[in-house]
Amino acid sequence: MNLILAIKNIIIYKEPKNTYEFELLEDEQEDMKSGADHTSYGNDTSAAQSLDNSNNVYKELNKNIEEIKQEFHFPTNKDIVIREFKVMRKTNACIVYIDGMADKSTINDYILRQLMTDQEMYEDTKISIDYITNNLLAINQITKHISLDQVIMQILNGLTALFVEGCEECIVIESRGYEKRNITKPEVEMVIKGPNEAFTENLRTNLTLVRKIIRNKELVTEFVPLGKTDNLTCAIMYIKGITNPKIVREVKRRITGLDVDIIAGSGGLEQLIEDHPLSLFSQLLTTERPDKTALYLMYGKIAIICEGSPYASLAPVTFFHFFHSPEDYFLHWQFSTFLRLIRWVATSLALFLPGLFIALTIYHQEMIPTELLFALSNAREHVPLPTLFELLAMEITFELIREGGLRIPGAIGQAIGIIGAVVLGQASVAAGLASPILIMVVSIAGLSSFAIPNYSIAFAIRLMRFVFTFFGGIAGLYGITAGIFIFGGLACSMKSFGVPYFSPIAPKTKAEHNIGIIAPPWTLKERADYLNTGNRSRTGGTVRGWIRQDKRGNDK
Amino acid sequence: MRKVIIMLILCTFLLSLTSCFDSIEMDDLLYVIAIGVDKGISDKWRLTIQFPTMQEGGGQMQSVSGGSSGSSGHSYASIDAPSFFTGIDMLNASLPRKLDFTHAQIIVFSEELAEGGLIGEYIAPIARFGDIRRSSHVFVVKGKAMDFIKENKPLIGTTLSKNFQVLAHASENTGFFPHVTLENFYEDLKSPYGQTIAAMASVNDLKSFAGEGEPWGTEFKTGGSYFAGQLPRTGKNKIEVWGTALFNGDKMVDKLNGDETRFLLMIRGEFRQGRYTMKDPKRPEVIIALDVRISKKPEIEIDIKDENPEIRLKFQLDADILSVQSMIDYENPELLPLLEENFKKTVEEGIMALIKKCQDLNTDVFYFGENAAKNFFTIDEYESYNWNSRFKEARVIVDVDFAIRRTGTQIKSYPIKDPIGVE
Repeated sequence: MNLILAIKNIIIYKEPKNTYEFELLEDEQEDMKSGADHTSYGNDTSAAQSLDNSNNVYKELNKNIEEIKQEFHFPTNKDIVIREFKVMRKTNACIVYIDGMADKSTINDYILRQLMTDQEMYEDTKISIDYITNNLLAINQITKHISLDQVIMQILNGLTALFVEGCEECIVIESRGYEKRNITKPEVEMVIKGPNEAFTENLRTNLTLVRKIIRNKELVTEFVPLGKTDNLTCAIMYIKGITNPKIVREVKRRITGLDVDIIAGSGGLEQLIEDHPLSLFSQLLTTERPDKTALYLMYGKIAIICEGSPYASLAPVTFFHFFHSPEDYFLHWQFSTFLRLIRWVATSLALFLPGLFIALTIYHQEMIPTELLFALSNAREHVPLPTLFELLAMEITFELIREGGLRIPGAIGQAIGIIGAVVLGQASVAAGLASPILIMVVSIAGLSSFAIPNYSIAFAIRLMRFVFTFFGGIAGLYGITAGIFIFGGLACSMKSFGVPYFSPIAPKTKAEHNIGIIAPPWTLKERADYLNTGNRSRTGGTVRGWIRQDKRGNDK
Repeated sequence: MRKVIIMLILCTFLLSLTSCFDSIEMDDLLYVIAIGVDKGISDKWRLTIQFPTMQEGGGQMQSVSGGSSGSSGHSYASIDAPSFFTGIDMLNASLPRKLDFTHAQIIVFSEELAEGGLIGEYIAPIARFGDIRRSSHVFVVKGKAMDFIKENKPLIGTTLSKNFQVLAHASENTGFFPHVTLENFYEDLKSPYGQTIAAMASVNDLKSFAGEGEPWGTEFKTGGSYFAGQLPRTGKNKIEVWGTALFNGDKMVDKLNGDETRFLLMIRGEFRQGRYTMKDPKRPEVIIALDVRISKKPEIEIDIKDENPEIRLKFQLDADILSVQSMIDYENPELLPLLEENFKKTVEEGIMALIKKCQDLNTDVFYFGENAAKNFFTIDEYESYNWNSRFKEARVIVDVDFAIRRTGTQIKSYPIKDPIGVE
C-alpha cells in the first residue's frame, strides 16, 4: 500500500512551489537609468556600519593589544606580528600585521622609519591620528576604522593596523605584499593570433588586466565578500550604462545570500549561484583570458572574479557562447566561420556518433550502405560481445586512458595516453574483443570532444554521449529522437541570470549574427537583444567611417 | 531517497519489459542481395536467394586471420515453396541466420514466368513486402532465374552488391538496357498511361563466340542488333544485361535488341549517351563512329481530335565524331550535313520501326499515355478513353534534329599516304 502511495506521489501533478525566479524583462526606460548603486549591498567600508558594532577600538593601547592577542590566539598563532614602538619617540603605539601577507619593506621603510624618526622641530606637536595620517605616513592608501572587527578583517587581508595610545581610531595601512604567481600564457584557451595573457590568482592583478583593456570610466568594479569563514572577496565588473542594472543587482543578491564556510574559488561559486545547478550544462562561462572578459563586458555581460582563482565567470551567457573561441574575433570572419562550423560538427559527432552507430547497427541495418554494412558485419564476425556492450567497454577504456593520462606526472603522461590508445585499440581488435570500425567511432567521438573550446561544456557533452548511447541501444533512432526531445526541452527551459539558455534561437529574438556563422565585423552594430542592455548600439552609425558614401555612384 | 529507489525500480521494469525488442546484431542477419523467382516443380514457387557468406571476400574487410580460401564469398540457396514468405521461413532451416531483404539489389524473373503472364501473381508479395526496397533492379532473365543467380559472381572486386549499384550508370552510359526499378516496374504494371518494361538479362553460354571460321568481310552490322544471351563474347563472366523485355499487362510479349532499346530509351527520355557506328556515306565498306547524346528531353505532342490519335515526336540529338576510317574530310562544313542527314535517317527509320513493332504488339511502352492525358480534364475521362487500346491506331510523326557539335581532337582529316612501290 505504501508503495502504491509512493508511486502515486511521483506521478501525480503537484502545484509548483512558488519560488522566485529571476527574469530579465524589458522594462520602462527609467528603471534602466537608475544605476545599480541605489542598492546598498556589501561593503562601503566605514563608519556607517561600525556604529551598531559594540566591539570598538579602545582608547588604551594595552587593551587593544590584549584584544588583538586574544582574537588571533597570540602567541600560539605564530603568523601574527605585533610590533610595539614609540611614535616620534614619545607616544606609545603598535602595528599589527600577518607575517607573509604584508610587504616587509613597506613596513620598514615607509611606516616604522617614518613614525620612529625623531622630528625635533615639531617637539610640541600633539600626536593624533590626523597628524599621523597627514604628516607622517608616506603611504598611498590609508583608512581609519573604529570597529575592531573590521580592523581584524583588514589585517587578514594583508594590511597593517596601527594603534596609537589615546586614540579611539585605528589606522589601517595598505601594505599587501604576499607571494603571487606571475602572469603567464593561457593554458586552456590558447590562441595563435591574439594576446597571450592569462589571469592569475591575484584579484588585483586580474582586475588590472581587464582595466588595461577597457580604459573607460564607466567600467565599475564592486567588491562583495564571499564565504562566512574564509573572508575571500570577489569582484563584480560591469560597464555602467551598458549592462542591465537588474542583472548586477541579481548577481549581488545571489552572492551576498550565500552562507557557507568556504567557497572553492570561481568553480565553487558558479555552482552556488547558478539558476539550474542540477543541469549538466553550465550557465556561467569561465574564461582565463582578460581579453575575452573585456569583450563580454562590452557586450553587456557581467564578470565575476574571485580572489585566488585565475578565472573570470561571465554571465549571463547562452548555450552558443560556449562554442566561441577568443580566436574567432582575431581571425578573418570567413576563417572563424569555418572554425565555428567545424566545432559544431565536432559537437554533434561527440554527442551523437556512438549513439547513432549503435542505433543504426542493431536496429536500422537498412540505413547503412550495403558495402559498409557488409564490412561492418564481416568485422563483427569474430566479436563475441553484443555491440552495445562492446561500445560501452571501449568508451570506458577511452575515458580511462584520458583520466589516467592526466594523473601520470609530466611528460610520461602524454606518452602513456597515446601508447595506451594505440596499443589497447590494436590489441582489442586482435583479441577479437572489438571491431576496428567501432574503435574508430569511439576515437572520433573522443577526438571531437577535444575540439569544443569550453571545458565544462565539453565535459557535459562527454557525459551526454553515454546517455545517447544508452538511448540508441534501448530504442534505436526513436530513442535518440526521444533523448534529443527530452534534453532539448530541459535545456530550452533553462535560464542563465534571466536570459533563456537558447536565445536568440529559442525564444527567437532579434538575430545576433554571431551564433554559428560570424557576420563581417563591420555589420555587427548592435548588442544582443536578449540582454536588454542600456545602450543597444555598438557604433555611432557606420563602423567603417572611412568608406566614402559615394562609393557606389559614379566618382565623377 | 525512497523516491530515488522507487524511480530506479520503475526504470528497471520499464526497460526490461520493452527494451531492445527489435534489436538484432548485424552479424546475426543474412543479407540477401539477389532474389530469383522461377516456376517451381515441387511447389508453386522456386525461390532462389543469393547472399554474401561473410567469409573471405564477402565483405571488404581484411580478415584478422589470414589465408585466402579462394571462394567468391557469395553463395545461393533455392527452395520450392507454396508462397514467398513460407519459402523464406523454409530456407531458414538450412540458413541459420535471419534473412534480411533490405539490401536486396536485384529481383530476377524467369522468361517462362513472364511469358506465361504470371508476373502479377508473383510480384504481389514482393511489392507488398516492406523489407524489399522499391529501388532494387528488376530483370527478366532468359532461361531460369536460378541459373542466372548461380552464375552471378563478382568478377571485379570482391563484392556483388557494388556491381549492381553501378548498373544504373551503365544503362545511362550505353543505353543498351533500361534501368528499371521495382517501383517503376510495379507502378507501370498498374498504370493507365503505358505498359511496363524490364531489362533483359541472361546467362551467355559463350557459344556465339566462334573460335574458328572465315574472317569477317566488309558487311556492316551495328553491334546493337543482338538479343540478350547472343553477344559473341568470351571471358570469365557469363552473365549479361542486354535489351528489353516488353510487357502487355503482366504478360511479356516480346523483347528488344540493343539498338531498339536505345530508341526506346530515347523516346522515354532516359537515353543519355551512346556510341554509334554507321556506314561511311561515301565509302560504305568502312565505318564512322559517333558519340551521340540527347541534349533535350523529347517533345511529345499527342492530338486526339481525330478518330485515330496523332503522335508528334520531336527530339534533338547531338554527337561528336569519334572516328572517320576513310579519312574523308567530314569536318568540312560542306560534307558535315551529309553525315548528319545519314544518321538522322537511321534514327528516324529505327524509331518508326520500333513504334510500329510496339503498335503491332498493342503495347505502349513509351509512356505516350502521359502526354495523351494532357488532352483531358479529369482522370476519369482519360481512363474511359482507354489510351492503351487506342495506341495501336495512332499515327506517328517523328522529327529528329541531329547536329554534329565537335569533331574530337582533330579538326581536319587528311588521307593517309598510299603505299609506294607495294603491290
